[in-house]
Amino acid sequence: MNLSQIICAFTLSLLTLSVVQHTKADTPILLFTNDTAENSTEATLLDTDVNIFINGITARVIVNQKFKNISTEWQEATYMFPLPENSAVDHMKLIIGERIIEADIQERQQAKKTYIAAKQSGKKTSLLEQQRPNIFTTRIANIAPGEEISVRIEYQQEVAYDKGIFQLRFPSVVGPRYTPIQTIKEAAVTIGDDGFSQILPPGSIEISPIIPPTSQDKNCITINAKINAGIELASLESSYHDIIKKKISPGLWSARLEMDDTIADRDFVLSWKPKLGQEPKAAFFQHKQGEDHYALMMLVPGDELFKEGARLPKETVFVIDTSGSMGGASIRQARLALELAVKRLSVGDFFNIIEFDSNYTSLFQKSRAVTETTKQQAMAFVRGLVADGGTEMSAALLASLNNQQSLNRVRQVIFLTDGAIGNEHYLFSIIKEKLGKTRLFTVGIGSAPNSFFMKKAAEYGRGTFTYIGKVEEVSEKMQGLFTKLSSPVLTNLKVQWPENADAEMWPEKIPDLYQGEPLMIKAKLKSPQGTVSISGQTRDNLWNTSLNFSDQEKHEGIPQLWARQKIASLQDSIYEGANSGQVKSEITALAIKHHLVSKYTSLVAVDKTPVRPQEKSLISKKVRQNLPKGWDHYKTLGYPKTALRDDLNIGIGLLLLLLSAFLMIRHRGKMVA
Amino acid sequence: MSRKKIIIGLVVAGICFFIDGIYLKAKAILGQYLLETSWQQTLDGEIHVKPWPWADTWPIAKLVHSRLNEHYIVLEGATGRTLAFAPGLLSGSARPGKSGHSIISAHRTSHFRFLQFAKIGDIFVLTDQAGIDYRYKVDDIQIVDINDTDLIANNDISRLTLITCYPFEDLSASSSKRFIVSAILENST
Repeated sequence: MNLSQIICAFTLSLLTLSVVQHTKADTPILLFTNDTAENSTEATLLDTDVNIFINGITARVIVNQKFKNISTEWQEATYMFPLPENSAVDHMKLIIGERIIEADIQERQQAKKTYIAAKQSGKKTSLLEQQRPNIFTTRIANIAPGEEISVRIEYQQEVAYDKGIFQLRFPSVVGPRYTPIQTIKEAAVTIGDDGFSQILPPGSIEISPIIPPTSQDKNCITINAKINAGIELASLESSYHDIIKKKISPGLWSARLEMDDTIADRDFVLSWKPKLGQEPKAAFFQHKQGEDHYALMMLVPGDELFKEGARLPKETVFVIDTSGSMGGASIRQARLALELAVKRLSVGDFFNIIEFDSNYTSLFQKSRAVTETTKQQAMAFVRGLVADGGTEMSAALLASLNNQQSLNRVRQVIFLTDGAIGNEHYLFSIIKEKLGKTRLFTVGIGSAPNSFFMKKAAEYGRGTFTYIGKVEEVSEKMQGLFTKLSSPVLTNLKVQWPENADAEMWPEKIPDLYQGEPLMIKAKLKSPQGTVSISGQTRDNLWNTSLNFSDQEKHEGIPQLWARQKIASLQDSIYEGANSGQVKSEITALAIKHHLVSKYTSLVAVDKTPVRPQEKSLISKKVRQNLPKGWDHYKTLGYPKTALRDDLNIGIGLLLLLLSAFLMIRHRGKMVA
Repeated sequence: MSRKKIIIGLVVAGICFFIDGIYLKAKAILGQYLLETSWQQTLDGEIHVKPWPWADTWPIAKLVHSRLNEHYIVLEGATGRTLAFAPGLLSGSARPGKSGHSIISAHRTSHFRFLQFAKIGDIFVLTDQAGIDYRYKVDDIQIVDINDTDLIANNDISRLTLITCYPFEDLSASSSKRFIVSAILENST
């Protein structure tokens, strides 16, 4: 090989090195890039077995996670998985062959200490922690080579009921979609150009390694459900999976997944519909625990309540945030949502559009009648919207609430924003003061960094909050909003418990109801007898009803649901200014009393005798999980990237220059010689 | 192949690499100068002052380590674009002066190179947008694997955590270790 070839090869390798570094630098995050692809033979595998027992409007779910150590080392496995948001996780069992070890509830840090101590002393142990209200992790230490271990998790949840259809969802994979939704305190998650957040808020989760597309190992799931509806059913369906269903009696059905090796890559959704005319309008279940009675009450206001008198003309004012933070995908989503909304406007109504960044501009000086011409003008206005400038929300908000010209109109303000603002409380005060008869609906766009602001604004504005996470969701989510906009709402709901019941009810403030939505209340009662009266009002109607309750059937799990609801409400109270330390200790006490996993409490199980010989080391592995269906293989989340290739490039540059200088000198030398 | 062409090629490639490296360094150094003005405006009461018109971030705090004479203006967010110019406060972590855990990260080759000289007991002063100083005393310095996020997971105590890549001498653009300096809020003045 002559010199020029050597130099070429050397230069080429330097260039390649640099290119490799460059590509790496552009990938946002690097959590699991190394241990996903290569070590697949060493990984701990997992199958999930789910048993769902539906009883009326509650469900008991038992999840069996089976871990198998297929390596030759002792292992610790960490597995992250989702559960429904409202699940009250109250039991965990560690199952080693025939033996079952029941977990204790402990304060989070204490539980972690217990786990680590057991792990270090070589005992089999497992820990169940809540990372987010809907995301949990299990850790199991000291799994022997070749051994199989199961962790059984049990939780209680209420079943969703809307427009006469019951629904239960079992999420089976944690995907990137969970990251943008949650915000912690008033801070925001920043979403990068690629649509993913590169950083998670603290107190947050780690994402399990994702199974690379080529791998043959997939996390499999089996699901068995038993539906004791209590009423005759017309149908039982699963939205995204093929199921085998069996009707045992008119109100008792069973269902299971058709495939035994179903891959856990999408949510399992089961819906069942009562026979026509059998749709429940009210339910009251209770359970006694200790001295206290716990009740779950459901009540569906009649449809006639939502019938309006003469239809009044509607005035809709759209306010759209076009500040810099809405750039990229967000403004596209917002434009699409607005176009949909404008198309749906009906002749006879009135509308206007206000856009704001550092200043605000409105389409018309004041709201104008809906005609083909004004619609065309609106479409052109919307298409011309670009995102730049600051976020001066208050002026636009005032403009939308100030021009309340006619009382004979139903006035709705639809506010599309990502809420990247810091003066929430000032804005809330504007809404409270100026709302009048207007209803404010917020639509969170893009990463929704400040969903706290948008939820609260909608609450003060007595409207609803709609969250649109990605462009594909625009049409579906806006459809849902339009339905709510066009139907009246039942507000000012009050529940009066009998005096001697001494009721502690959660949620304390009952949210407004739209047609078909049930009122769901959990209460702790001293005495389970008497009549509870419920009242509310729509624009045209007043609503009053009462419900007699007496010692009915025992319904296990209600105390846990009550406690879970109270925990959620307490957690929310931090946003309203409650002392976070006090909330923490209240939640901890409540969760320990009811044996519940929470942000501050975890379940931990420890075997009695050490099994791992002290001289053997323990290898920690994350259990890989499948990607949600439809997602591309992606790089996931963790620490920010804090390495750059600057020094490397300066080095390479200098080296190359030095080399050329050397060659030049040699060249000259030769010429002279 | 003529030797002359090879030499010219090498010179060009060398200059390109050198300039690219210097460009990244320059961004890191110049960024701090450019930020000074918008930080002043922030202290004067403006909010979300973008340092240049197309920026998607703004100064949120100033970080000072007097023993090593290091001071940096910290930007909102810790994305690649932000970190090129200044240390970034992780979105979602506590704002300076608010209760909770504030997490700032920066590149090991520029702003946070000095972290390797930090010692337990050192004081970091963080100035918030209102100009109020918060003193944090270093009580822990650790090197962790990037999979181990326990250290930044705790949000209950008012702490300041500074993160950069490790090892400092490593030249590559990726790293699986993080150097973490943890400090606890002393008192506010």
